[in-house]
Amino acid sequence: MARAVVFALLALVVLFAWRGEVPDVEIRYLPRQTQTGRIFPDHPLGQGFVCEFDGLHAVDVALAPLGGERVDIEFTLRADDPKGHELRRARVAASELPESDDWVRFEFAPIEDSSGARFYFELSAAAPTSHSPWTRYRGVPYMIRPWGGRVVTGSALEGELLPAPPRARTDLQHADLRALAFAVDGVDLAAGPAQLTLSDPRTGEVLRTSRAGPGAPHASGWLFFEFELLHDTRWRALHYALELPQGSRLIAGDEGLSMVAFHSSAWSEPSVLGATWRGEALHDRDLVFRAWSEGSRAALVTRLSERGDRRFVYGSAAWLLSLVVLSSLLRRARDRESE
Amino acid sequence: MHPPALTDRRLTRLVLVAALLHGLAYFFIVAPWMGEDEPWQFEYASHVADGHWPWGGRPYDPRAEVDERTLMSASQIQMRERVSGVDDGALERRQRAILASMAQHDYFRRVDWAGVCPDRSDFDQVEPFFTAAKQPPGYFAVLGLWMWPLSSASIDTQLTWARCSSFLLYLASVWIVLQLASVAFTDRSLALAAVLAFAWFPMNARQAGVINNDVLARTTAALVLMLCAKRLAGDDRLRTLIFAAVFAALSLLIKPTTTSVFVALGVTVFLSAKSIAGRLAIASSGLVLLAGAFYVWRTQQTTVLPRTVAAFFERIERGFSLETFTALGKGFLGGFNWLTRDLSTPTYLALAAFLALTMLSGFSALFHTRKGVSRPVLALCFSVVAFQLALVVLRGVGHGRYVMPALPALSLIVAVGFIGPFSEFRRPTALRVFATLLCLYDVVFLWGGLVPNEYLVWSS
Repeated sequence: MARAVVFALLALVVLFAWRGEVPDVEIRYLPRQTQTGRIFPDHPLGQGFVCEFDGLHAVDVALAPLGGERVDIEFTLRADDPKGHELRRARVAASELPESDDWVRFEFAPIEDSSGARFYFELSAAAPTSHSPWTRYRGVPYMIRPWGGRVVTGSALEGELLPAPPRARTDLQHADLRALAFAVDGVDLAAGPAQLTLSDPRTGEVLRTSRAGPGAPHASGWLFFEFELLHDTRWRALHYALELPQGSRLIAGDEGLSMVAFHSSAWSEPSVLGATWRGEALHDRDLVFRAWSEGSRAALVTRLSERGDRRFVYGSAAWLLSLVVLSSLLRRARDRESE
Repeated sequence: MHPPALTDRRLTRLVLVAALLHGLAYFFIVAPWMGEDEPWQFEYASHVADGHWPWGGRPYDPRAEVDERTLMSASQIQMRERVSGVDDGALERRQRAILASMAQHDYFRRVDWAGVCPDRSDFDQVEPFFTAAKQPPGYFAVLGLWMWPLSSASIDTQLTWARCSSFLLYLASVWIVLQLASVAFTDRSLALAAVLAFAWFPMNARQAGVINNDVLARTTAALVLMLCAKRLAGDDRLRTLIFAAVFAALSLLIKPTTTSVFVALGVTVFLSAKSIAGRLAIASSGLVLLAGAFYVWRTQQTTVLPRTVAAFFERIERGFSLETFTALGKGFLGGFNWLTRDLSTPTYLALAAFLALTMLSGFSALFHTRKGVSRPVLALCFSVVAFQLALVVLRGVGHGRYVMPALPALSLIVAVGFIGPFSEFRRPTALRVFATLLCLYDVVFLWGGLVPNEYLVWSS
């Protein structure tokens, strides 16, 4: 019995050792595929979230290095709204930015009553940044043509999404196509709009059009074109045409333009409120981030009781009993040996 | 035959009760759909439970008026090719129902590569082109039959009921290893250590709560090994060997990872032959069987073995890579949330070091007398483990569960390695230390890995 009690206590210690390791809100996005691009002066990027517990004191943002001159990144935390009351500020110096894809922490004085409150943070810089936050688009990616090695210039680009054959693997394997993202070396949306037109390659019928926004310079990131769900996209051919501002540069690889197709309808998430760009909400995507509040034992117990339900209680009881029986078994084995 | 080590019925009952409770803990704590490939395997078995045979399905027709691939997902087409008589609508409805249950039970928040989007219309939107339909039908026939009485119940009820079969198979495996240890050892401490190593090994106990053909593969492999060990320990009855051969043959209908049971069978027949001529005859028969296996390999489609010499060497290179063995070690010793989350590196290193040292110590028992250890059975265990690892190398994919059919053999080796070097007088103490170390491993695995990852850290 004593053995069982010792191991039960040990289990509690091991479990509660996690209290500093459990983020309040976290976007886990693997593998990371789409980075937002450089942050330009006067075009801050941000994200909204709802805290579960009190004591919010840090936000980590996943940043990818893009190259170029390093500049400090400013962090501003606001209450309720992307343009709401400023609560905290933090800064990461250029010299502290990571060499590779990694989390960057913005720490600030704890906010004692953060439980249930809405927050928006913003990242800004005095010059275009050398690092980019990662963006998770709220869809199911299928066709992923990764960031290629060449730049394609032009204001009118087109191509086709095709089934297999002629492709080795179909470009569109799912129904419900909802968005296309294109890898961009540089597109200045402030100089003019970018438009995507999807059409049937056989009939020429225009199926969907989409404009990318908001108007801001876009560099070394992915440009998303969202449109109303196109249901019958499984294993079909589609023609796409891009109209871009003058001087636009897109990224391409061996298979053509670097792009990702996203499927499935949008969903809302109570704890994450979507990304922001210059204070404008983008509900179809999120920055990859995690927020840290006070890692109390009570917070851990709350989460376990909410998510574990009765099965968890039964399981814990069975585990404890198994230790009691094991102790009894070992005791009997010892007694038998000494007989 | 030497006297069995576990004659105390109360002791064996206690072992089984402890294992029952331990398995029950994992049965309850492992969250729904957290077994690797569980949705796909459940889907397959559920169609069998609905009364469809797990073979003889309708193949994809490339000449159809409307390309079927535009109408159905790849995983649905593959399932229809396998299961007979199931209509297209039922395939789609079943996948949608399973996906709805997965979303309801927060599968997408737990498995990091799956993305949190809860609205998926088919399995391909979780993993494109993936299916359980390519797996051998044995497990799905058995599980389908088990699920049949509840085939009209909700998906959640069916899942729980299907997992009950895994729990029972876990218990059955523990009982089989108990028998195996009893014939392998005359020392009680050694036998108990082997059973505890098997029952308390966390990734094995976790299989008490998940649906996977690896579960039945492990149980069948344990059964064959036990029958072979009985034969080597002096059971001369022909039926023992026949049963072993029958179960070995049946295991191929469950999962190719059980191929190592044929090595067990071969080694047993070879070692139990009474003359050199007999052994030569057996070796010749083995060569004929190998030639047959080669023929089957050349004529059948299987992903298990490479099909060309170039592919063979490519597999070997991949199989021997550090990445493969790292993935194998992590998946075998402890991986969570569909192996997307790990234990800490020092934990893996400590476990791997312990395993390596005990195996080394166990290996030395082949050449030095360890009281109470049957050397032929130990040799049998080593041959099974070695072949199982060779299979993983040949496959080139380091999934820990692929090693599970060799876990009964490994448990015996670890028990010999840890307890064997001690004198009979010291062995009960060594057993208590061994059990304490196992419990410590279990605590770290369950409360420092499985529970936090499945219940505390979710993606938003």
